[in-house]
Amino acid sequence: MRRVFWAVFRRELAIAGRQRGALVHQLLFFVLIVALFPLGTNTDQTVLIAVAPAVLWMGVLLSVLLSLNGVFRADHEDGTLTQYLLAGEPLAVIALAKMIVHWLASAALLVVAGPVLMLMLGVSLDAWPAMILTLALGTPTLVFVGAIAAALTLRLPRAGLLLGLLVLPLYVPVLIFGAGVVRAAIVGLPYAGAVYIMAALCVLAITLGPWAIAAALRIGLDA
Amino acid sequence: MTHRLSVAGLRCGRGERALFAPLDFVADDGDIVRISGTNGAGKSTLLHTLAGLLSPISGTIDWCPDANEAVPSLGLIEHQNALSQVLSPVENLTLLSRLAHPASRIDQATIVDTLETLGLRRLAHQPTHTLSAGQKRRVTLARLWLIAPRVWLLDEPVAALDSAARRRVSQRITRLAGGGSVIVYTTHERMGLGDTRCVALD
Amino acid sequence: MTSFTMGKSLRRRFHRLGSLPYFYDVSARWAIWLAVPAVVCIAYTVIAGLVLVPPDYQQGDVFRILYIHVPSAWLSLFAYTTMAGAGVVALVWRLKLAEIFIVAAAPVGASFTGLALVTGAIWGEPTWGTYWVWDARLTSELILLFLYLGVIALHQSIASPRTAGRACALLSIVGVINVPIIHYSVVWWTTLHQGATLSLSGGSHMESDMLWPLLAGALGFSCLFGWLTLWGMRVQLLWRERRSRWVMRRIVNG
Repeated sequence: MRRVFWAVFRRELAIAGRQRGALVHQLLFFVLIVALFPLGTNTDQTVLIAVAPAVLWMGVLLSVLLSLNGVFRADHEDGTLTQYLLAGEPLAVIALAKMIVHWLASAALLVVAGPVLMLMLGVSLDAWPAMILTLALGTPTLVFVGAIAAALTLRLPRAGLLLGLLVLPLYVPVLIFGAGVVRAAIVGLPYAGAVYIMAALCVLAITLGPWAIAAALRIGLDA
Repeated sequence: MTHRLSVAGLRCGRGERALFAPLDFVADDGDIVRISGTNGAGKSTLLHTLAGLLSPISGTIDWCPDANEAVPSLGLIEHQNALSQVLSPVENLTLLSRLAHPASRIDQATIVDTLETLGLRRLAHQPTHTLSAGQKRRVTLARLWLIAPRVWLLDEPVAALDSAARRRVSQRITRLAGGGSVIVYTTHERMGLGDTRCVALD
Repeated sequence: MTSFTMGKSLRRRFHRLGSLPYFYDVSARWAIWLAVPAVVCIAYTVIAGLVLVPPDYQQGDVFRILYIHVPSAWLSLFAYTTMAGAGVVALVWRLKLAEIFIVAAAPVGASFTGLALVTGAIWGEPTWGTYWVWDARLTSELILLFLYLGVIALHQSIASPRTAGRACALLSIVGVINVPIIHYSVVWWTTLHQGATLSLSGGSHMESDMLWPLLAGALGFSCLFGWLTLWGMRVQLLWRERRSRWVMRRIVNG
């Protein structure tokens, strides 16, 4: 089981390493959402600070969603996914390896970029730890939950829009706690409780998620 | 007597429409079963259903396992080559053989040797997208040498191959059947494999 | 010994229920047993709610919408839970009827959710002065509506009915794990920003003459849900099995 996990892990890492362009695109998308936001409102600092947590987290939600749209597509088109399904090992182990690499390759950049963009919106440095912590705990949840729906819509044409419809309601808790913690940090309120809840959700998503993704892949390939 | 594979009243298809009339056939160790039919007759769908990837519309598929395993190990070579375009043939085959045999260690030298038999020595470390269609097909067929499942399901194994490669693959398939593997393959054209059985889809 | 025979007869029942023609025939009879209590209970609730119950000393006659609003809000949650339960049955035992149940229940549940939202908005205007507030319950109800719409959209997008049924089953299970999490996160969120803390829960001591119509409403709505879902299932069943002989026979024989 460990051997298959590492074989898939190494393969995904090698593929991600050779397609660095795609990773940058996702980062740029995130930066653009946040950078364009002030253009739609006035640049009054108090207004920007008030909405900054929400804008940042919506940006994270949308860029993770966008990256998940194609997460299984290449594997499905070239037939690797079929080989995964036929492997003697639980498909969940393979899904776990694949999603960890996906997180490392895409969402991890957002964790780094988030705090920098926070500065652009005029939020003080005091809220940095809260931002980094929530991003680090929230993005794995987003990736693992979203991948379930991505697997279900694998073979559907124009799956992108449907994926958003299925996934965004499930992202509500992460959005609320993530943005809530940052907001609490900005005004200096305690936020440890919400961080613990985010950590619990993260553990839940990483442990149960792969099994649900595996089931969803089997259903999705049948479609 | 029980057969390795017995298929009874099998109807397959994606969705609810069956692609062909109910099928009945059996296969034992060492058999080569050829599945013939026109384009869209359901050959690939049948292989997917035999592999357990699609649920049959009706009918049964019984795989008789060996004493020490729950289901007989099964290899499937589809139309798609299961090769990542950005990885090299060696990297791709490393993963594919690891998936089939998690425990045993198939080292890089074995893979390169196999690629050499198929005339791909020079391309072993190139990114797969630089290979031609026939070369990619040969890379994925290298699995016939590297892994040893009890059952091989092959979808148009030699399409896009030149005559030399075609001969080599045919010889290999015959050898595998001689060694006791069950081979179920689809084809448009004659491959001269000494088929035990021919199943025609209509 | 007894338990053995009981298990056997139970299994036969289960097997018979799994038989689609049997379900189709027997469900027509069940429908009556759901339709009659649904009509009677809802009629009683409407008459009692509009006429028999005295006006509220604070809200006057406005609160009477509660007799529609509260049962539909309950049903919106109940229906989703039953869908997830059926989802487990559909994925573990591969029972076709469970898939069909999910597919048939989703639009009914979504309608109850929509009804709860609309009646809530109508009620909110005179009492809170606005149609919509970002109150914890309203917000979670809205997200629940989106979860329902997701199941419906997924079902419509997948051509093969069996796959669509199983996909919806998995999505309902994932959704139902999320429902309490969403609810508590929304509650936490509304307490975090101390804006409009309007709550309906104040004064939950109901007089019994107010309570009975409400309970009757809940029962009536449950039966209505069962009735509509059963009919939806029958329609789904006919559509799915439209090429099979038993459907042909029933259509020819009326």
